[in-house]
Amino acid sequence: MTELDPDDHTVDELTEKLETIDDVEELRGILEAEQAGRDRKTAHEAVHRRLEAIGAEAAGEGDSGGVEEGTETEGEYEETKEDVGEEAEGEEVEAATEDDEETEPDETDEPAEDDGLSHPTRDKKHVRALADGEYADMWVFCETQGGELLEVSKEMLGKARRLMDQFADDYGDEERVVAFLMGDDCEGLAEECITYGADIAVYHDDERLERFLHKPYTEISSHMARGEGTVESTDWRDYDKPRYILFPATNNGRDLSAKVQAELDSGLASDCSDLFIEENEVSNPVKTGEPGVKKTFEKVLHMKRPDFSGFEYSTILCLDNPGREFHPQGASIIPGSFDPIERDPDRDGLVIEHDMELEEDWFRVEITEYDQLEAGIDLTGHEVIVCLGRGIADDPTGGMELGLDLVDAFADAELGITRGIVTSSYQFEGHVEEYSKEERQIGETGQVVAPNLYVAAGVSGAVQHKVGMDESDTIVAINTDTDARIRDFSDYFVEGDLFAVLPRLTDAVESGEIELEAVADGSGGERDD
Amino acid sequence: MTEYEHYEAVVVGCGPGGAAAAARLADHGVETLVLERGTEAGSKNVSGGLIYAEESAPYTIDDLFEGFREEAGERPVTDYHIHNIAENSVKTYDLSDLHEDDTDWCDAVLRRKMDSWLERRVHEKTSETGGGVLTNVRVNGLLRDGGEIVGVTCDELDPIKADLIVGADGVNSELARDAGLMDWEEPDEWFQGVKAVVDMEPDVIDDRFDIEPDEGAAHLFSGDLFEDVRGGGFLYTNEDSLSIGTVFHLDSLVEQEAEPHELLDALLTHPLLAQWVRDDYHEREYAAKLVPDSKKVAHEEPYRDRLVLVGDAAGQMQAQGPIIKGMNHAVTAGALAADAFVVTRGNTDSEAVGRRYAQMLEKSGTMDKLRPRRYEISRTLGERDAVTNVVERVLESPVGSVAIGNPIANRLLKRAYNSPFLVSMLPDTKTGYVTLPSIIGEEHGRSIHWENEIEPPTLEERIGDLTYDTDIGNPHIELRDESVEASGAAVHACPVSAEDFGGGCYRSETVATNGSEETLVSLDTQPCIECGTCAVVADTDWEHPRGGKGVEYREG
Ligand SMILES: Cc1cc2nc3c(=O)[nH]c(=O)nc-3n(C[C@H](O)[C@H](O)[C@H](O)COP(=O)(O)OP(=O)(O)OC[C@H]3O[C@@H](n4cnc5c(N)ncnc54)[C@H](O)[C@@H]3O)c2cc1C
Ligand SMILES: Cc1cc2nc3c(=O)[nH]c(=O)nc-3n(C[C@H](O)[C@H](O)[C@H](O)COP(=O)(O)OP(=O)(O)OC[C@H]3O[C@@H](n4cnc5c(N)ncnc54)[C@H](O)[C@@H]3O)c2cc1C
Ligand code: SF4
Repeated sequence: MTELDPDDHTVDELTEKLETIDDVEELRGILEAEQAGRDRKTAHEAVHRRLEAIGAEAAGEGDSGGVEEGTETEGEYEETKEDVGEEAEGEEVEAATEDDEETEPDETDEPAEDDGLSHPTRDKKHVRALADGEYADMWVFCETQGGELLEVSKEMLGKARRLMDQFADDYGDEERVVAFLMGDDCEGLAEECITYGADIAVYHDDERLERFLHKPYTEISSHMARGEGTVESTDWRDYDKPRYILFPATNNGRDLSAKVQAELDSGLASDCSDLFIEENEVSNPVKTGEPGVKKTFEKVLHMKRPDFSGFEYSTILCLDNPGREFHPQGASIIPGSFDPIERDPDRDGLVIEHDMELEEDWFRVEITEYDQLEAGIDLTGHEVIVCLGRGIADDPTGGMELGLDLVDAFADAELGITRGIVTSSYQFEGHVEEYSKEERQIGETGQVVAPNLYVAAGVSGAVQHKVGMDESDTIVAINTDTDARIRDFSDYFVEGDLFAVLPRLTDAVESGEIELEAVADGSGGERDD
Repeated sequence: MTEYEHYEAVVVGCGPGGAAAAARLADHGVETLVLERGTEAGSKNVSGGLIYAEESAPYTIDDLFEGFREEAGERPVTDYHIHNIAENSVKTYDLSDLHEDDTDWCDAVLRRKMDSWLERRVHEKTSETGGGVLTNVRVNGLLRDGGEIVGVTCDELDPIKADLIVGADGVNSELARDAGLMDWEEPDEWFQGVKAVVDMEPDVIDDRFDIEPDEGAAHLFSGDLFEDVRGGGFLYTNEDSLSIGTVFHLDSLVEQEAEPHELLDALLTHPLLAQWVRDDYHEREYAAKLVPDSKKVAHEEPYRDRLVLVGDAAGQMQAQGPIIKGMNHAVTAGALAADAFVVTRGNTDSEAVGRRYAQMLEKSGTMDKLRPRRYEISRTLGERDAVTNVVERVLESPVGSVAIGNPIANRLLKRAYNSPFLVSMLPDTKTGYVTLPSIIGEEHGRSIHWENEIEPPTLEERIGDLTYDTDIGNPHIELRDESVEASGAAVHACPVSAEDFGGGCYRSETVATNGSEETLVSLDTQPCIECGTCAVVADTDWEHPRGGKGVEYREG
């Protein structure tokens, strides 16, 4: 498009010709043509001078383009920055660490001794009732989500109701069930707590409390439990601290329970699945104050929690020392452990708005974004896992049903699947579709399980699947292909069509003949140890 | 617009193209940031493995990186042959003349070793001018201001602005796609390369290939070994391993419904291979990647605003007949882009650099190698089906075979294969790849009856041996249309999928829906080796995984 080809001219000629041009684009075109062509520094300067003259460039702006191809320009630059590796990593997020209140209270059969060193109460401004305190009521932290009570909150209220009714029968004292909760506009939920068995519901409203936040939730809970605050909001009670306190063993509940119990100077039995109240006789001198003397503690909350194996239970007690009391006796409760009581909209109860100043500083951590994850299924800790693979392809829904039948035949079994199923395009019918999701995938990128019995039907045994299950005690594979890799690491290999074998296996389990060998032999397959 | 971090130059990708661009920019004193999605450069890259230093090229890799050959290379190629195969009959020609034409030197390389070495050198150089290399960062698009490209956006970092953006992100360049300079639509614009790296002790290599420790061999294969699929095979010697692979026209793979891993196995198990590999076959790594066909897609104007594309991203991958040259052109292009930037720096028109770069590609003769004019002519004649069919029929007729089968023809053929001019004219038809070589094999070849003992691993084993860092719950490819018509081709063409294999990425499944049966395609991206094939042959939303995620090649 450029009329003038600078290559055809000497710089002097060019300078002269340029005088007649005052179109910026054309001048730039000439500059480029020069750069692409003879690329003379003097010519560049001429064009720039002209550009300046017509006002298109400020003096001094423009060409540094005198550099010839291949010319080293070292020394012309300044070192501007340090190693970008660090710089570009972004600013350090200010960590929201709290003082030294993090320490979780001990979870031993007895509350930790106060050795005066490790105990987290040293910095407490407010330690009340170390001895001869007044305690009453069972408090229940009612966690909410999306403007509703969590199911576990209702379950705990139900259990608390039954426990405190029994308490009244046993001891003649009417102590109450106190629900406590917080959020943005949760008065309605507090009322809801009454209908599920609470006598009192204490709530704190603040728009900043809409989602769980570690610091303010802890502060408010402790404040409530100690009975601090205005007279109007506390005159319903006349004790120092709650006698018992329950939290849900959810992510937030676990977090809160540890902090609140430390703040209240007590202990915690985490992840409990049963509760009862009884007296307890102990002879431990730490507790009795005198060797050889037995002492009976009244109204002790017995908190049962499953061991890691899932087969045994420990019962945890939270007992006072002489001169040093541990209340509230607290536990976090595994969701699903108890049944709620039937909702009764006519139940009477007292709803109390709690009152306190919330410090700005407690809200340093801000929730800017959140996402709800799918609930997820935990396949670990079961006695039996029945895993289905793409061998169900001929009738995915039917295969899934057969797998579920076998699961049902065992007392403690769950259904797992291979990734091959998760990512398939199989069209499962509605009632079994939920079993085809990633949350049930076993393997390298799914869950790792080690049940007593692992039944793999129509699973080829790819290495990525194997790593998720080969610690299982007994592995039974059902496969039409005797060369399937899973045969290398199964204890029993049943050669056969899973659509025929699974029902027979289910029958055998139901009729009590869980003779694997018999099943294996019976189907014409072979045993392969 | 928000204030973003700014660099004079940002280079996306640290393969040979990006490394050359960054090194040259740093040599010019330009503040240069290099972003690479792999955990280390090379962990995502595959090539067959011969890097050429052409005498006619303005830049070669050792110009830019001193010590390259000693530190990053494997063996120099001193022995070069092509084998035309018709079943068990093989005719071998020495290709040394062709190979040496315009070649200063040529070394076999493995990409993990080579690219990671380059990355370290690039980091040293660029950190001296205020930049550096950041790995585990995936650039996911272009930053625009008022419609003009001014920088890049990443999965891991805030957007970054730059005066120059070098898209050296290889084949399936997301930058080229974002800029509208490339699309991933036509299978006939691409090749798919598949390769196995095979263990072999250095002295065993010397012995079996009859070479010295500082020598290397290259063998090419064509003919009916791969049935009617257009393409060929290669075998190169590394220091202590072999690179054995195949390169096929993607459209031909799709048409023939061929399984890439089976084509590789066909080469591996051919009796001819028995002279080099015995029953001690141990595959270290299975890998695959698309390569663009520069004859069709090398972009004449590979720039937009401040963005310039180099290497595979610009389609600069030359495959003509048996020659595969991509790395060297990527190096040339990267260095030229850097020079173009320095020369036009300060020019207020943001496209000045791009225009300058395109001119340099042209003037340096690079463009003519990538898109030879004579190919444009022969393509219109030779590639059209009608013509092909006629030639095919003549060749297959007794007369045709005789014509090729006489001794004079033999001499002519050797000459023809060694003529860069003729080779570049071999149009990409079945005639050039299959018919001609197999007739040559049949008529001139000698029969080979060696017992091949190689047992290639299954696809399942190959996937199992690869290293993945799976981005769980975050698949990088999404199937838009799961019908067989739209996406069924991927079940065959994906190098880690196969008909009746449940463990691959793409699987065809017959599913019953309300009484009727339907075949659908399903996708699992976990075994994906990021070759790019399904971006072209299936209906997908295709991206690379986040930085550091996905497959990690150890050899490459
Ligand atoms: C089987 C096979 C055999 C071959 N044989 C030969 C041969 O013998 N000789 C030869 O010269 N060539 C050969 N080639 C071609 C050669 O490999 C390529 O042409 C060459 O690698 C191109 O270099 P490049 O720098 O353009 O891209 P690449 O080498 O592909 O580098 C691109 C880089 O960019 C990174 N990247 C990509 N996207 C992003 C992103 N969004 N963000 C950040 N980083 C990103 C990648 O991780 C990679 O490191 C072969 C190819 C194949 C597949
Ligand atoms: C990085 C990565 C991570 C992975 N992570 C996982 C993971 O976490 N978990 C996982 O499971 N997979 C994972 N995979 C996938 C894995 O490689 C396999 O593809 C998958 O496990 C195969 O699933 P499958 O056994 O159901 O299907 P297939 O391999 O297709 O096997 C089906 C089997 O069923 C048998 N069969 C067919 N019909 C019948 C019948 N009627 N009765 C009985 N048997 C029959 C067949 O003989 C075959 O053995 C991963 C893959 C990769 C690459
Ligand atoms: S899924 Fe697509 S990109 Fe991944 S390996 Fe298969 S064809 Fe290649």
